[in-house]
Amino acid sequence: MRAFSSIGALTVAAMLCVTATSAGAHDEKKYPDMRAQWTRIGSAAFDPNKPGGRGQQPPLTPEYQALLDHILAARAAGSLEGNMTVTCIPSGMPRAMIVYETMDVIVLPETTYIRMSYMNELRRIYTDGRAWPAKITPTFAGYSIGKWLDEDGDGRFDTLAIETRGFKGPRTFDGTPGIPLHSDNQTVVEERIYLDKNDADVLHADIKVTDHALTRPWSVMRKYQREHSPHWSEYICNEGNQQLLLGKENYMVSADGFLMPVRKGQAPPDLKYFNQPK
Amino acid sequence: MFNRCIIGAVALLTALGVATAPGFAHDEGKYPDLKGSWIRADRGQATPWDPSKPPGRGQQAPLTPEYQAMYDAALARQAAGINLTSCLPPGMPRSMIVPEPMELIVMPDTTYIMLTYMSEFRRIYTDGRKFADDIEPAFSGFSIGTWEDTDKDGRFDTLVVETRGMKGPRTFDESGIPLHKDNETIVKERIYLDKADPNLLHNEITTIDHALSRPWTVTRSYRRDRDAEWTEHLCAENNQYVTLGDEVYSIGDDGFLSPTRKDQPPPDLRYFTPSR
Repeated sequence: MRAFSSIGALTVAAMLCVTATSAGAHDEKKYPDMRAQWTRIGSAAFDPNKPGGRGQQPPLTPEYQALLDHILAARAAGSLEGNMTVTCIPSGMPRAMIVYETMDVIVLPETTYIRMSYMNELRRIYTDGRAWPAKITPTFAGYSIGKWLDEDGDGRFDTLAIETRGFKGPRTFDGTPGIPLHSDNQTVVEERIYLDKNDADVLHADIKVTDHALTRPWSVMRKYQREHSPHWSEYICNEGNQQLLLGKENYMVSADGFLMPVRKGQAPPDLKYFNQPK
Repeated sequence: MFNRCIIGAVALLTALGVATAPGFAHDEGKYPDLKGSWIRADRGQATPWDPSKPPGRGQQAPLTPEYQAMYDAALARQAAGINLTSCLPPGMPRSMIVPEPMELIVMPDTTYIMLTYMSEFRRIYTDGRKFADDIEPAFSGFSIGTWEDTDKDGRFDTLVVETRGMKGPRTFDESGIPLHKDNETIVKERIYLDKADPNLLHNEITTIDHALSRPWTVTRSYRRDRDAEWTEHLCAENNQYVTLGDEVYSIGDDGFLSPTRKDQPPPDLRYFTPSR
């Protein structure tokens, strides 16, 4: 009797509410609880399941393998050539998903926002059903369209499937050694982001990169830890960044504002455009 | 209206002894519709702090004599063609000039303000917390807000914000009106939609700072564009300048340093070992 009465009351109440004006209730229970601060689990190599450097075994074309070899040699000589974050150019995608510092995820029905404190990168993943625009203004973060999936059929979304295009560069997969992506910036990044089935404090990102620097798509699996006592800090690359890249040479700017070498015997920059004393 | 309906439905079910699930819907109807892209409504190439007054000295910033002297010196440097460049973020309150698009996301416990210019990001906590005794300084500061229903229609319409805990250096605008180096600024804001035009957002901003002889209040407004395309503003990408000491040099596409004014001395290379 009580059950029947309850169902009847619920039905009446629901009917009354449906006829009323709705300003849009956002039913958060439809979506996984991803709104949190996340920090990376594992190394800052693009593939955290392999050693860094050549150990990453990126499936590069011969041309881009040669470029990587050049970068590795430059690094060994103390150069930071090719690591654009040195000059406060953001990581862009897919490198931003390494999550050097913290990551903020905010889920709304039409957009999921992912913000990295490192370089203040912001991703908007549109889940409003839109098609790819005819023209995309290139950005380091790219343009992302996503779709929520209910993989386990329990009536709730559990996986965000994302495709990202529309990049600018230069971008690398990582900071060290700086595995390069193709200069044509025609990268396509596909991701599946989901909470761990056994531990809701672990977030997975399965990332597949298709790029003309690669002989085949490169897939990696990254994980992140939920922080229950988040501490939000501001990351300002230009604050305290004393690095300076002039062409292929990097220098430092001293605390007192003078140019400095970064290695023994480094030549000063060529000042050919200045009126030198006769 | 829908919110009252839900409350009524819950009350009805409760009266009948039916257990109801705890409220889980984020009822957007309680809050003003701030979706979309917002950009400063004032026109003109200059972006003075007080949009109702001319830039520069026309702002009539209520500076103390010490800070007025600093401002005069900054204006003199600019007049001489010396513009010290920086990719440090503007911080509060200057970030609320909004020279590029801004997005606001309202959640019950936090309102996020995402600013394209310099990629600044503000969190305004509306979860009832108090200011901590020690705040880690940030250019955007630490903000606590409260929603108000000023017209008593059952919906929030005004976000009242206080921001402390800033770091510097900061200026009010591009002309360089300085804030005090002690960074003890307090910024108070009232953010609300225009009653007659829901695509116009107002922000009454009061700055209390030791560089000022009194609190300085300005009203800034922002215009909505629901279909704006979001872009990135990357200071470092477009900044081809480097400041060495008091001199600003240009970095050419060929990677060489060049002067930015006639007869500018080259950079001092004192830390390099001369070749024998």
